[in-house]
Amino acid sequence: MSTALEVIETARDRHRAFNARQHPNGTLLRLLSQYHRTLVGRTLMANGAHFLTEQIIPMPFDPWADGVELISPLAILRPSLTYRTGGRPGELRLIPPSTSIDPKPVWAGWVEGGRLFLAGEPSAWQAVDQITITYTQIPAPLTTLGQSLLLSPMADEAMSLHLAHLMANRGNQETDVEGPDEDRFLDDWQNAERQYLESLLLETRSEITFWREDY
Amino acid sequence: MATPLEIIASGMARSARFNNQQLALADELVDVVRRQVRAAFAVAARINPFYYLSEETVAFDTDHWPWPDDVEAFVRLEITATGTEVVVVPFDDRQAETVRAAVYARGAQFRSAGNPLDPTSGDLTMFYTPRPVDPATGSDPIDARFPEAYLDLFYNDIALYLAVKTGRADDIATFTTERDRWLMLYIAHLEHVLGVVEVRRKQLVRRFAANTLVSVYTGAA
Repeated sequence: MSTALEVIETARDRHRAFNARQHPNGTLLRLLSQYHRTLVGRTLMANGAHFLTEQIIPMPFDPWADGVELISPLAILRPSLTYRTGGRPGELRLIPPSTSIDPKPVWAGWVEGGRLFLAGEPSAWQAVDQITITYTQIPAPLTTLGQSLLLSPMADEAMSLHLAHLMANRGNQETDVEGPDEDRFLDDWQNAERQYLESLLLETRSEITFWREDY
Repeated sequence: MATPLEIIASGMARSARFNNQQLALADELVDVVRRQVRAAFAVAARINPFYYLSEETVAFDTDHWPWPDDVEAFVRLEITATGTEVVVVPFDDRQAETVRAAVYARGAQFRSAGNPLDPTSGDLTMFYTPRPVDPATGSDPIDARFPEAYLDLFYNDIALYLAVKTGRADDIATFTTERDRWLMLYIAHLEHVLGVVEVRRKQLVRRFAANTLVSVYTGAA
């Protein structure tokens, strides 16, 4: 993974006017942090399993009624459970909060306000050893230059060109350096982002899937 | 290195009209030399701040780091212990750079900008373009860092100063032209001394329209 500073330095390399005096690292880091989050969202739309975090919740938890906090969940992909006897895996069904489904699935829960709640009483879950939630986290904001980015290096081009585009928009006050071409950097950035998102399709190309055919 | 009296003698030799006249006192002309050497260093601060680069390690004093006495223009600040670069942020925007160590300037002092990474004690190494060391008397050499090949600049300054005193328009025009020619050569030297070998990834290319620098030298800027 690249660091924030590496992406910022690559963006600066694109034009002589992109110096740290006109465009401080702190400013670029804040802008990169926002775009990083945006691009994570777009990445997940292309491939929902691009980056996943596992949170293992030992059972039972206490207090039961408060649920368990999931750490910055953005998109939950796969909830599962492990039985106490034999360590066999099982399926946890997520149902909508305040559902009218009745009877509920045997192992059911819901996510509300970033917390996982399990249906029923703790006594009903004695057979379950732990619950595993596989999900994508909301990326933490970038606050230091040495922080690693969540996205793969494939996204570096789009991120550095995004910063270059923003620096071009911020203007140039150096009198002996020709100003950057704003339209050019806008086009380059948009092309790089599209190419990155298209490259994500390669990740899922070999997956077996089902599709509906209309006759 | 030449002394002011030697520069004055060379300047007076530029015109026969200066001979045998009490046009100026020696101390008066020594002051002219001092001023013009300072101006030559000020021009360097604008064109090539690294040419006369000085360095001083400054200790923290209560709540600030005092500036060195001979600063003309700062070039870089570092935390002495680590070599980490310290940037200077504006007095009225102290959060302009929160991810690098920063200080702000106030009354010939640097003070911590107050952000988490900013230095709050210890030594700062200050790199800067200095003002020249003034010769104490007319017999002491001017600052030895000035390139000797361009002393004609000061000879013509003296000649121009005397021409102004005599009030002769033709002399004034002649020595203004001659002084500016040597000033252009000095500026060109500052500008291109590293021009071929230096690689710049960013920051300024530093190509100056030399005519605009004349006003810095003459004090008309």
